Amino acid sequence: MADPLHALVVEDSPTMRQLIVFALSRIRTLKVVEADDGVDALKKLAQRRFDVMITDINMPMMDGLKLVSMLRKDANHREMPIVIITTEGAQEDRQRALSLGANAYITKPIQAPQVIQKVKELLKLP
Amino acid sequence: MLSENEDLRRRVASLEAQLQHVHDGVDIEAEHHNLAQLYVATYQMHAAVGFRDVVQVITEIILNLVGAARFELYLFDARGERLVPVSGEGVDLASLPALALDDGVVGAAAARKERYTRPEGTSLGPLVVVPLASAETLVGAVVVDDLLPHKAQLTPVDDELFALLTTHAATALAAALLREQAPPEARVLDVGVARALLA
Repeated sequence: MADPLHALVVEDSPTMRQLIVFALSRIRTLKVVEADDGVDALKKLAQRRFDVMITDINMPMMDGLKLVSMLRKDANHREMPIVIITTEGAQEDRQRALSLGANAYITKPIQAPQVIQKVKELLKLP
Repeated sequence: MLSENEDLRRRVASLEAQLQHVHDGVDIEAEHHNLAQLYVATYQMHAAVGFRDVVQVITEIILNLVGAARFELYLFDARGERLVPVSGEGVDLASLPALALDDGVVGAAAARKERYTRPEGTSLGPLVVVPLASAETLVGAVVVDDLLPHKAQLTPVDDELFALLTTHAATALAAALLREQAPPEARVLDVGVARALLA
């Protein structure tokens, strides 16, 4: 059996975080780790390698834009696929995140099939 | 020619079966997502202990699961017999008046403890009014004014979420507020009382 892939979900809202973790649990080869915000995410990223990260933008302590910006400057995480979570109206934030190096985005209210599809595409899973 | 037709018929039947399988798969994923939303909403509601935490969970359900752009949470002031706005998103709470129980669709829905949904084809007034009632006691109401621009309409799972809010949010709000109103010594679990109640 192949080693599992690892996903990091960064979201300050417990409700949203749990919903995303539920969605990702449909991808059987994926193990999911949760982080409350950008600072917590950096701690988790220092502990192990992740194959994909899904992050909210608006969070306390360190927001998703700052997190994406920092990771893209770090050789260890430069290539890690990043999905950002935005609202439909926050086009400026979305463009900023994509220009900083995020690979894809999903909009709230999130739909599990949309999350699964994006992550599978980025991980090149069937 | 007959054999070719027969072969084509078999292939069409096989493709139709495969297509149905794909549709079933899509339905299962959508159903899984719907159930996950209801589970997460219930779990988070009951995991919240403080009043502010309960309000935060209600806010997240309305904004992130239902996809509302604008909403208000009213609590029922039993002494004054009126609904008082205490929280919301996309609205200036200070500009919202307290409502009597016969005041408009919000007051009427709360008084009847029946959900109000704006009739299709109209755009006046709130989209949905969800009364919050615990064991027939009115606790408050959630009023959804607008959905996010990319959410065209309410879905069946939104109905389920509103039904969940009606009872679970009411119980959680009432329990959290009563707990925070109680003096510290009254917050200690009294096993003697528990045993007496079960006797």
